[in-house]
Amino acid sequence: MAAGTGQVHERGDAFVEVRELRKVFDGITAVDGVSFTIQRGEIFGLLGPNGAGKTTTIRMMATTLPVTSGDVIVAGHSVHDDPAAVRRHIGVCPQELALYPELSALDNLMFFGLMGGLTRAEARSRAMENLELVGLADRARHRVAKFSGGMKRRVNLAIALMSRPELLFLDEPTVGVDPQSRNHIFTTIEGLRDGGMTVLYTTHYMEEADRLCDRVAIMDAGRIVALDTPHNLKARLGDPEKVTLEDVFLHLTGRRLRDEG
Amino acid sequence: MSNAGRFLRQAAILAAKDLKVFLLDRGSLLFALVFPFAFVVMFSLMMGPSFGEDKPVIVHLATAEPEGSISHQIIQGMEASAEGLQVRRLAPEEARQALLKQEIGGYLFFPPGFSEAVMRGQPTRLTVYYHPEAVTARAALTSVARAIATEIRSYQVMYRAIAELAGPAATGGVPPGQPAGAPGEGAGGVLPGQGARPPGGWGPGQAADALGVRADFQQVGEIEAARPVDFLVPGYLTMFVFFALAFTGESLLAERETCTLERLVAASTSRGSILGGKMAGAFLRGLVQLVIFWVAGTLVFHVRMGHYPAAVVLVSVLLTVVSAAVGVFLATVARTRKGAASMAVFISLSAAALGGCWWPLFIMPRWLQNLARITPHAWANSAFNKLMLFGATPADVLPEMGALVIFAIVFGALAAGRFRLN
Repeated sequence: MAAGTGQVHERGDAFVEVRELRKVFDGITAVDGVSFTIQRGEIFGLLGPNGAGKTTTIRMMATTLPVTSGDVIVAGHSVHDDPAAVRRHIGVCPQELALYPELSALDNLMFFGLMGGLTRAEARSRAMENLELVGLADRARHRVAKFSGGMKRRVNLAIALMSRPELLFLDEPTVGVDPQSRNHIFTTIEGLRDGGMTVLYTTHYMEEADRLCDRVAIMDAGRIVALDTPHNLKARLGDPEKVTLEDVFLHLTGRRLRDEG
Repeated sequence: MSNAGRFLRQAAILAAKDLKVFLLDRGSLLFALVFPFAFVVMFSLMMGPSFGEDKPVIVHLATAEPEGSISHQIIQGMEASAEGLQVRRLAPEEARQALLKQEIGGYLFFPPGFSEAVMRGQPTRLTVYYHPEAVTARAALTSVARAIATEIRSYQVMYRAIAELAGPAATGGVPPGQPAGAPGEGAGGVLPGQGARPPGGWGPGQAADALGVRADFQQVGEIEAARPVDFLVPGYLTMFVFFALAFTGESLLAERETCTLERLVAASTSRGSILGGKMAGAFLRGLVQLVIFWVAGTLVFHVRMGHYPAAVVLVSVLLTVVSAAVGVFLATVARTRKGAASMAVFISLSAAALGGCWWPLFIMPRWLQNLARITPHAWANSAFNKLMLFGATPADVLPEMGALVIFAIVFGALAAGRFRLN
């Protein structure tokens, strides 16, 4: 039986099950009946133009935004009925740099570790491991304010790993970083996947999704318009060796400019 | 870990983080801790050593009673024994004219019938007449009046107790519980030198003391001229502790804007922990300001904290609690960090001006003093002025402390009701 008040849901092969998820803000439907599953150990890509509903979907899955209707089951727990149990399984790396620039990298990681219930010794040890993982161990005591954009992104990712989550939400983790940092982040994510972590990944960079994701869902106007492996999606338009995922994306979502959302 | 334990732990960690961020932010430190002292120094220099009253304090006394009365004996006693204070006796009309011509800052007046009321155990009053600008004179006279009243009251109580213990014979047949020396009951027996003596007996010279007509300044401490720093330091403390609500408001809104709030929620941090942690953080930040203010104020500016420094500190702490609650409330009203900062500056400056942070409340017109009561600043400054300038006791500032507690509860409740995670 799961902790908390929610009932335990039957687990199938899926580690995450999104069921008819819907979110309405002041009469505007941001997410409109989205359903999909994510297998344990899978990197699942959620792609879409600005305002497609990706971030809103992630926030509902991460229990930080209440759902209007539908449900998300994570490790057998409902975000609606037992958000506390869901939170024990997840780590969140928001699109924004959710850290404190005045503090050092180590202090940032330790703070979130302590808030998550770790002891001071555990938090320190895990923070150093994570900083090692993202290649910033030698800058642990430096103030984040002095870091480059790529280094801040890596700290952002390291914080999300403090709780040793089974499911990691990565919302555009490579925005504004140089190729070296981006490559380091890819390597880190692949290593996490190899260690058994499940990852939900959103990005605007199609080549990233093509490289990293086992499966990809393309969202537009709050709905999923396609869901398959990158190879199969590309095969829908032609030769997968010649067609890019960006071709598929533009084909499915159109070439009309989108407003931020 | 229990929910309560988890709540307290998370709130404490969050508060400690906020304090650390504050201490590492040079701009905030400069604004919260250095600016106030620059203001204090600047205004101290502008106002001179003691509101322009650089002469030694002279306490002017006048009595409408005849020679030999208790009031005359009090004045004689003060002329003979008052230390650190010059006492000058004036005729009532002479004192009134001198005050009207602003030759003196004020005087203490013993009304006709004062001695008789004292001997009968009936209420009477001492009147302090003062010019509104003569802050030092008013402070000195108020303290003297309070000392005399306290002294008389204590001797009256002691006399009654002795009289009741001695029985009806000692009080000329007055049953225990009734005022000794009531009309027709041998009141003359308690006049100085004519005294009905308590068991053990008095010498003639001691009878006056037994009636409580001695002026003893030890009860209220020495009276010195108030100096600008004695109200500037608490005034600017009040102002800058409230300026800190900009940090509190901004801090909470920054957590929302940068998504650290979202991250905290995803890390199972409860709404209560976040709210409690933010308030506690703001409170700790205020405590740092308090400690630095009072330590530097005492050591560098030689601020006198009155006869009850602990009460001054308690008022400061209550003020900090109010500031923390208002700061979190502000974050629930403002939509952006810039909005919160603008609102905080507007609230802080207008309330500081109205609430007596820049000039003493008691020199403001009465209607403005009443209007100022809508601000926590006014209550805090009123308490500081009473304790530090007028020799008040903690009991005298209970209304001010109560008002600050009410401000804290109201704004804390409003903040708790309005705060949303999403």
